[in-house]
Amino acid sequence: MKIIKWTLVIIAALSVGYILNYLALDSDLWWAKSLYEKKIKILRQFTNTGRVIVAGGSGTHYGIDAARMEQLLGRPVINTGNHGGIGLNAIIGTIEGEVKNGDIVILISEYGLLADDGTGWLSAAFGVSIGMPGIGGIGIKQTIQEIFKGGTLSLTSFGKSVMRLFFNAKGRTSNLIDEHGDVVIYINRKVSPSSVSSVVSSSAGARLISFKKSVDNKGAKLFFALPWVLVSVNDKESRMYVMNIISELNKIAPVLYNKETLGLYDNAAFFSDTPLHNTKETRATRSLELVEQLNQAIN
Amino acid sequence: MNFATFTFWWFLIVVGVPIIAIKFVMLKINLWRDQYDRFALLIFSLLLLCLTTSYGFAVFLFDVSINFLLIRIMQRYEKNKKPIAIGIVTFNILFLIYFKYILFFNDVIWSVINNHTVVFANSNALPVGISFYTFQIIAIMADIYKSKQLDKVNLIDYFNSLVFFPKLAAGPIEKWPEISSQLKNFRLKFSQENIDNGMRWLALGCFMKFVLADNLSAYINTNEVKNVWVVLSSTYLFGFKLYFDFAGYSFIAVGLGKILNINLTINFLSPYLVSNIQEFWRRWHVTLMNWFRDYIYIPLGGSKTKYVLLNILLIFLISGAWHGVGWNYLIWGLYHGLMMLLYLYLRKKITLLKPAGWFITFNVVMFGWLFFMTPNISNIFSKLFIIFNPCSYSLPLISVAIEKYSLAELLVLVVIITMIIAVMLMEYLSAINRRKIFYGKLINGNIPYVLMFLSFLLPARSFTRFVYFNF
Repeated sequence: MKIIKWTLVIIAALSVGYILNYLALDSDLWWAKSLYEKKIKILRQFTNTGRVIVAGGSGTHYGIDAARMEQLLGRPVINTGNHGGIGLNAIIGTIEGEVKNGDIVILISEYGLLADDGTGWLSAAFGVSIGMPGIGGIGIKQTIQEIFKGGTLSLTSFGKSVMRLFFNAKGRTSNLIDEHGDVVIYINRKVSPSSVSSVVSSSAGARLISFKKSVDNKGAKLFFALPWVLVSVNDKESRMYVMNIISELNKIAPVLYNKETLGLYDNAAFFSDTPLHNTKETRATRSLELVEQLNQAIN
Repeated sequence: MNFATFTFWWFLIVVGVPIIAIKFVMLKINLWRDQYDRFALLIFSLLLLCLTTSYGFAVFLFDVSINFLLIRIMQRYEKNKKPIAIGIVTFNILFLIYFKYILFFNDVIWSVINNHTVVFANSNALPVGISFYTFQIIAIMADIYKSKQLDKVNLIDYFNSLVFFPKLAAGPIEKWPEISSQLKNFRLKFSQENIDNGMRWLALGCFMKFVLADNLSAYINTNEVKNVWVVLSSTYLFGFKLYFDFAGYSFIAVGLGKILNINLTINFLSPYLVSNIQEFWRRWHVTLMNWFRDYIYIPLGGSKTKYVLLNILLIFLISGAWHGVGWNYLIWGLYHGLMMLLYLYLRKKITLLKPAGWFITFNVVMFGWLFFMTPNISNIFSKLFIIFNPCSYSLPLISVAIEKYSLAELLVLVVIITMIIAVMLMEYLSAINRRKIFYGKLINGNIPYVLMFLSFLLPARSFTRFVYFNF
């Protein structure tokens, strides 16, 4: 009887967590879920072959101008960038099944995501919220862990949910996007420089290799591109880490990057509200650069 | 063992279930029925340690095996046991110094010689639980040394007492007679009573660690030296975080022990409710302070020697050094030693009302955490300067401190503080009970179910490492 009581308490707690996560009351989760739903819908609307799917975290969501890229490339371009908290596995997992023959996939992973085990603090709840618990093609242990975590909430989620539901406070998480999946609302605030100190973890490496195989099998092409990061002036250490990451990624698929800057900039005017989110003007510049790099790579 | 990782709980199920299944097969075929349970517990704990850290496993195996041989030699050569005992203590202290302090000494010597800091290796290289099992080994040796009992130390019981998975990483440090008698008769029995008792402590531990301690982390800034409000709030919140983190670990260990029908000592007895510093040290990290009392303070003459004050100071300095590698820990130990001496001096002259005594003790202890949490000496001085400078207390700085947080984050902080007050109130109600069952109100009735429910629902977004794993 006593054991049953404890089991029921745990099941009840996990059930409440699942329900609340499924409803995506937390603002980060709500944002990630609604971006996913909107962007997947856009992606499926482009039925023609030869699409360019640009995937990544919020650095991609706030980093490229898909409409401009489409003009320059003459191919449909969709920005599927989402919340980095969902983790690399979920970023890949949400688009992997959508890739078709003739597509080009550009994955711009934030460096932190490459260093992790593939899951992020939001991944479990995100999986539950979109009806795909344990998303991302991960091992059995990690799948069970993700499913289990999907039934837990967090005190921070609780605080954010209360603020969003009762005071309509959304912070930076507006889900308004255009027909290419690009952001339409910008938030500008003072940004402090960041740094890069990540390496490609073995689990991230393995996931990228399996993603590459899956893209190849579908007759599509995979490229990596580097995120733009605001760093301090003369940050040589970050450069070193980025060089190392490029060499690791190059073993899997071609990397599109600016050989001079490596995507590391010390000009805060390029960035909107975090060291990884670009301003409207910079998005256009960056997209132009990305198109040139892609053209060089495919021609 | 890091209860904050999924791997631990995963291992517990994936390896634990087959071990129990094999037990039933052994019972059926009537094979090895008296030895299997103890052996299975040992294998399980060793496997878990090996999985957590192969380096820590190798160090543990080497250290513990050598000590086993030395203890057996001490038992064999009864007449010469004193020099052998001294040898064992020396070996263990040097072993601990090598792994724990060599980088610190290295750093100090090189910074003096070359006027710059040289660090030769990663400080994360500290083998898991080394501070705890080294003290546990010394306790075992000393308890055997003092006892008249000539029974040879059993290899499996000895290893089990050191590697027992709930206590390996951060204690409690048990007395040999108590732990060995339980392990000698250990049986894998999962009765409803044991599971319920264990789950109650587990619920309290999980709530303290995953809901209170981990959620507090986001509001503690140990590097701030300019804004006095941030310095003070971080210090007080750190005091609560440390308590809930370590007590949380200890209660999870107690809970797991109870499920396995092994009673571990409760390491915390509502330490923030005491009304003097002496009582605080009787109720904070109980088994460590008992260790200092039994194996250093009393052998040095206890309260009967004329050097009693010096010995008290020495104990606190050693306690500081044991806690961590760095000058700040020594300062923290010295601070508590001086506070203890001050209390012993003043208690004969002044009698305080209990609430006043509690208020002073609470603030003295909380202030002490400032040293503990600040590894950089110049930062300690900067913090002390602004705390004791009345001009630092400017009201606009409060809004600067608050501006860093969103409304949601402030709401979370209010919720955490409310929960802390509720827990402290329950602790108080338990402690004033005539039977003085510490945490009684939190582990009896339906409260543990609520705590378990909240532990699943409201943990922090990411688990933080147990603070005492660094020691």
